[in-house]
Amino acid sequence: MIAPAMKRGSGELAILTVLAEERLHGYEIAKRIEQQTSGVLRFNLASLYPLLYTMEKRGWVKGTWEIAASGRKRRCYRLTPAGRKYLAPLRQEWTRFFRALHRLAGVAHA
Amino acid sequence: MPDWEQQLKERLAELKLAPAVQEEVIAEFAGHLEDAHEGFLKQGIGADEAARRVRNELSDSRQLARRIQRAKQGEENMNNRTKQLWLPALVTSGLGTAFLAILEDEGIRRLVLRTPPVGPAQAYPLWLLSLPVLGFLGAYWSRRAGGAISARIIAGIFLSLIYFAVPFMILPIALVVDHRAPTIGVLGLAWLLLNWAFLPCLAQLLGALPAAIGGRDERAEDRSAA
Repeated sequence: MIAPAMKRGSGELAILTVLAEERLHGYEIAKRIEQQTSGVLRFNLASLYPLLYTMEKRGWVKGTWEIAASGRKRRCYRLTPAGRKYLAPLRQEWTRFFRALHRLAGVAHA
Repeated sequence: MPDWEQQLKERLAELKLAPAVQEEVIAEFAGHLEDAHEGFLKQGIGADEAARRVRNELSDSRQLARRIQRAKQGEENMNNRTKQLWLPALVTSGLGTAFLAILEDEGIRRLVLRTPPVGPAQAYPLWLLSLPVLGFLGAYWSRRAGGAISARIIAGIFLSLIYFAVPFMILPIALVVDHRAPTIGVLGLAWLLLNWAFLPCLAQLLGALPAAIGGRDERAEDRSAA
């Protein structure tokens, strides 16, 4: 299980990554992240929406009311050009972080 | 299916957002819970158990409300107050003070306006005449930024408010520094306030009111909608 602080830090990366693939509404974002991380990262109302609203305020995502595949009205989020610009270095940063951890773990196990 | 919207309204009662925003948040959350409920049903979970699991999402509704409040309003409040009040108020006050300095100070006047010096008797009326323009500018700026009528008026007359406060700040300091009561007297103080606070305030108000009264007052609309 991943510690809450790590989850918070990785939340932005997770949301931006799934929205880079396609526009999704809140529940779909949470399900997609859960599926793609095999249940390691899970979002609920209290963890997903404050983050989404903050990211929307920063201009990284944009939410608009649309009719979803289910035929119901849902607020769908898409990645903005600013969000795409922010995602690229964020991905690199996390990749570097995980590589460093991997190296550290490798040394510890040697 | 449970009425998620109703449950959310009850549990997030402490959420204090603008009515339109609050309604939108509740509708969005209700959609999320509806989808989650359906998701559990599709997994073959019984309706009651599915509803119980979805309700778990709302177990700490206070924390949820706090987080949403912070995310939706925290930065916005700060930014809006700056945009709607402080920025127009301080810029127009700065302009008014700078104009007064240009008129009164011979050196600056020669440098900026390149005109012969004017005496204090001419400088003051000229400055007073500029105040309706500054009042209008402050109020109009605040209105354009979405400020409420009160914010527009305060932004329009802010310079006069500063000038009103200055004597009351200076007199106690003078008392402490000189160890004696200032010799200005009550009449002197009244004369000072009349010339440097009340008349400028009236002049600024004259310019601010037309800009302040027109347009929408979003805060008042929010209150009446609530």
